[in-house]
Amino acid sequence: MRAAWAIAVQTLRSAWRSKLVLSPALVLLFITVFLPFTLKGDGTPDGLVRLTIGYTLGMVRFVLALTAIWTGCSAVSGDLAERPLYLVLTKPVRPLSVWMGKWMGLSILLTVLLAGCAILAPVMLIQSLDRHGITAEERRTLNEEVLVSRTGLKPLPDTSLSTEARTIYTAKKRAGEVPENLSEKEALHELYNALEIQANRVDAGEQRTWHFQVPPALRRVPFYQLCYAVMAPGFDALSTEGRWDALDAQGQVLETRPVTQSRGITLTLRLPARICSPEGGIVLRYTNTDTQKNTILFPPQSVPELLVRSGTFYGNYLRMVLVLLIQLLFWTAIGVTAGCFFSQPVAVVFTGWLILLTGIGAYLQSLSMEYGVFTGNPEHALWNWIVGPLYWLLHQLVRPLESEPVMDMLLSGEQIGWLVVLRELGIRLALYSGLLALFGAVTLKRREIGLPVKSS
Amino acid sequence: MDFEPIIEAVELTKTFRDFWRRPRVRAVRGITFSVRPGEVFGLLGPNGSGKSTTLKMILGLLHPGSGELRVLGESPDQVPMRERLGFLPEESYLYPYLTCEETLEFFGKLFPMNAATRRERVEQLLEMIGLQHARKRPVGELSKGMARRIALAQALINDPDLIILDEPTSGLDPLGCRQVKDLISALAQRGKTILLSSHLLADVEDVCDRIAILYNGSLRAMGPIHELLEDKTRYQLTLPELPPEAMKQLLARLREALGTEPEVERPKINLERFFLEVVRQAQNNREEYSGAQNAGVVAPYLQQKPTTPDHADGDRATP
Repeated sequence: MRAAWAIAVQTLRSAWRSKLVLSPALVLLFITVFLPFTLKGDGTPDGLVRLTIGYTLGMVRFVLALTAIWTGCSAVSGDLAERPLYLVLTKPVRPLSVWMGKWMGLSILLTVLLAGCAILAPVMLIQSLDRHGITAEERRTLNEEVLVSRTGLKPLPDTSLSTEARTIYTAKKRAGEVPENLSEKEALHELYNALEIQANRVDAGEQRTWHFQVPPALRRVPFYQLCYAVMAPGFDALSTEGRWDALDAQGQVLETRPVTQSRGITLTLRLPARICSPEGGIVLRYTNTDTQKNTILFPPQSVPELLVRSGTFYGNYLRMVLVLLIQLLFWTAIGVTAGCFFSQPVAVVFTGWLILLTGIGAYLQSLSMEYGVFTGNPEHALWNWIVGPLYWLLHQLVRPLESEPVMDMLLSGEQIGWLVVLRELGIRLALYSGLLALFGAVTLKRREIGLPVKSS
Repeated sequence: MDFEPIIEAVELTKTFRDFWRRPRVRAVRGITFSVRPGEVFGLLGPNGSGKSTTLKMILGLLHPGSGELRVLGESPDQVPMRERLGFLPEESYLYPYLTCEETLEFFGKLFPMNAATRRERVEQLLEMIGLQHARKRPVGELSKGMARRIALAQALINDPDLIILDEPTSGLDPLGCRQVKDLISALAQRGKTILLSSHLLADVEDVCDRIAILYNGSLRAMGPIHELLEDKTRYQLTLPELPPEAMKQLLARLREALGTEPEVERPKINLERFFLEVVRQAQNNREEYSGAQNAGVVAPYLQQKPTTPDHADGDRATP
């Protein structure tokens, strides 16, 4: 650790004096300080906030990602090319210490840069809001819908649909209509989804009811927010009318809200705390009262959700910044390791591809499914044999790296739990970066550092 | 007395291969040699003879193709062994953005020593190489000779038992060369083992006890330097200034005894000595100078070790 720390300090000093810090720092300063002045938003305060935070942090993330990749790749490969490492490795220094030292030095650098931006961004946001002169009412809405940390409660599964799915499955099984390669669990899941889509269709004059269960920790809140979006068949149904009723256990209406909603637009309704029973149950019913007799559909991906205030915006913001930092440090680790294998330009390209690969886990899975890697489709037997194991391996490697879209969560006021941070910390930083460190150290140990330059 | 060799190479080979593992260059071809404790051993040879490859294998920067290699009793890739080793590479290979002081501090931190000892050594080394006045200057801004001195100092920060010097006088002015050679001799007299690679024969002749000459990867000659250089077929006589009559008589006697005409010429001081005399005079006049200043005093901590037992072969060359 002594040698690793010495190398980390040397890395920091060299980065500072070589102006390596200065150029991204200036760009980041421009982004965080001057960019908010140029943003106009969509005319609404929440639009302005989302745009300011989204653009600022998005660009900060982009610049820091480039910095992480570039500095990470040149940390070891640059020292190999310029040869100071040639001298360092004749000292009692283990290759792992070299890797750790380089990574720690760059990590401190990135942490300082990100911390600076993370502190400046909210300050500039407040300045921007003051400049736009928002009203007290608008500020209240902002604090309730954007500058907040809310937990989303999904409706409880519909037991009648589960029962119906089971009945259909039993009948189909008896009739021999269930495909052999489909397990009972998978078949029931598919049947439930199909029934849910059908149930979420609400014709004019019809109703649909959802049940929610609020955990004890979230029952003492001043209000709940219902968040949903609807689809409507037919291009003429741009706007439809309906009514939301909150019911008690006996079916008595506690609160009523007539609504007019546009197709595909997410709508948020503020509902009083009294709709929640002492046991935490909430029942919400939608009635289609559309005068044009349009049928509406609640798509499975945006079924009604209850948003409950569960923390502060700044707590959420801190957790998002931590997740961003962990991602940056992971990318640095990829760069440092790639620099142990390749020269700097090759390492940069390789790291870029690798990072791209870690972001396409879902696409890899869809490819795997398409080629029947998991389903074992006999039509693709040869293709499976060739690419199947590769897709499978890539998918297995990349799947744990799929992470929550923390920036989107922050902008929608959705709570980013500490579990998300801990998961990133454990998987990206401890497990994957640890493995990369071992790869890099073994490579440095096995590599012949003293080869003539042309053959290295 | 028998001592375990500090470096022992037996049938050492190294072949450089291309991407497809096909042999491209046989850089070292089965060389066998050993370096004994407390001696200054010189590896000589023209460019491409395998000197640097051999040094790199000793340092663990290259893996031997075949043969056996032990350094300080261990395999060269053993990390703890390197605590007793100092290395000066052919080029300085230092971090250009670190100052002289930070560079020595950095390399000191790579060894297990406490901060007080490290700082003390850094001070002593800066004084030894005459760069106290440049301690805050980044290495990248130094002249090649000054950077070379820092590189030499870093090789000594851990008070090593074995010092490997690759072209130690490369890039140094004659004064620096003399100081380095004096330093090598002083270190050797204090029990350090030194392996030196150079193609500057005068340097090697001045400081080495034994040498090995490589050519095309093979060992062509090895032994104590005075034995290898001794011409056993002739004598050289050096006399003080004689009166002309006495000189005539002496030459007549010699002619009669030899049966041929003896060669007679006045000895010359070499250019190095002449140059050093001129520079010393300038220094005595206290002229302002921005380069390395009065150096050459061996750092006190390097003087502390007792001298190891006598060298196996021959006398040490003294500066």
